[in-house]
Amino acid sequence: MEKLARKLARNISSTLSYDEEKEAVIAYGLMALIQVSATVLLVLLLGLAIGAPVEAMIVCFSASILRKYSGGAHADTAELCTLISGVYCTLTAFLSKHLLASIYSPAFMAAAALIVFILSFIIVYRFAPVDSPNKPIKTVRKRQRMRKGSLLILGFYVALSVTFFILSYKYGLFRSYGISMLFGVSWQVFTLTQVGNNFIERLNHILIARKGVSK
Amino acid sequence: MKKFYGLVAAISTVVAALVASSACIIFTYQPEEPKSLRD
Repeated sequence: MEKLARKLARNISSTLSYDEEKEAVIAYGLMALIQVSATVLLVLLLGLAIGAPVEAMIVCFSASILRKYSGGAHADTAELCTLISGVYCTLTAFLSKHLLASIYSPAFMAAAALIVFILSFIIVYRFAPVDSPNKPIKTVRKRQRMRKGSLLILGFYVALSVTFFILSYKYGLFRSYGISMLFGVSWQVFTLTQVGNNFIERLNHILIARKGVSK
Repeated sequence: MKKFYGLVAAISTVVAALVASSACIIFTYQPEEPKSLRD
């Protein structure tokens, strides 16, 4: 994906006579567009295949919207990132709709949501934003803004979760929506921790080493 | 073709600027951020 974005940016820049920096900005924007489109499309298709497209999209977007402000551990390649997102969103959407929603209990759901959100607020307050060497956050002002944004989004998720919980009494489908949201938030918060970082690092080593062997 | 490339360049630049204001590029891969977008 990154190679494709860079190649397209090079073609555009040479045709429009742009300098190197402009080319880098275009490549960066194209990379974001391609990666987001590929991931959303993959999650949607896999979600449709397992009969839970809405749940898969809820997991995907609840994690990625929070991630915009909180940052988190990163995969080594865009393809690996898309693969991890696709697998996690599909598996948890399947669990939410076909397994957990059928054994749903309001008391258990309320307890699970309470635990997930309390832990999420603590972890986000303690660690967010988690930056990366490719995009370091250098100013204290930006760090504070990102942390505040993360906490506000978590607050919005709490309100949404309560809405899903109330609606689930009348409409059964909101059970799996609420569960999916908890899976999305949990994954994103997990990538903020050292354990999450180690887990992604391990996946990077295993999957990239395997790709190297298969070449 | 030049007009089309111009449009793609404009959209990509807007997206790059939008992503620059966030902590990372939304999903779990972060390409190197161009110098002009860093703060």
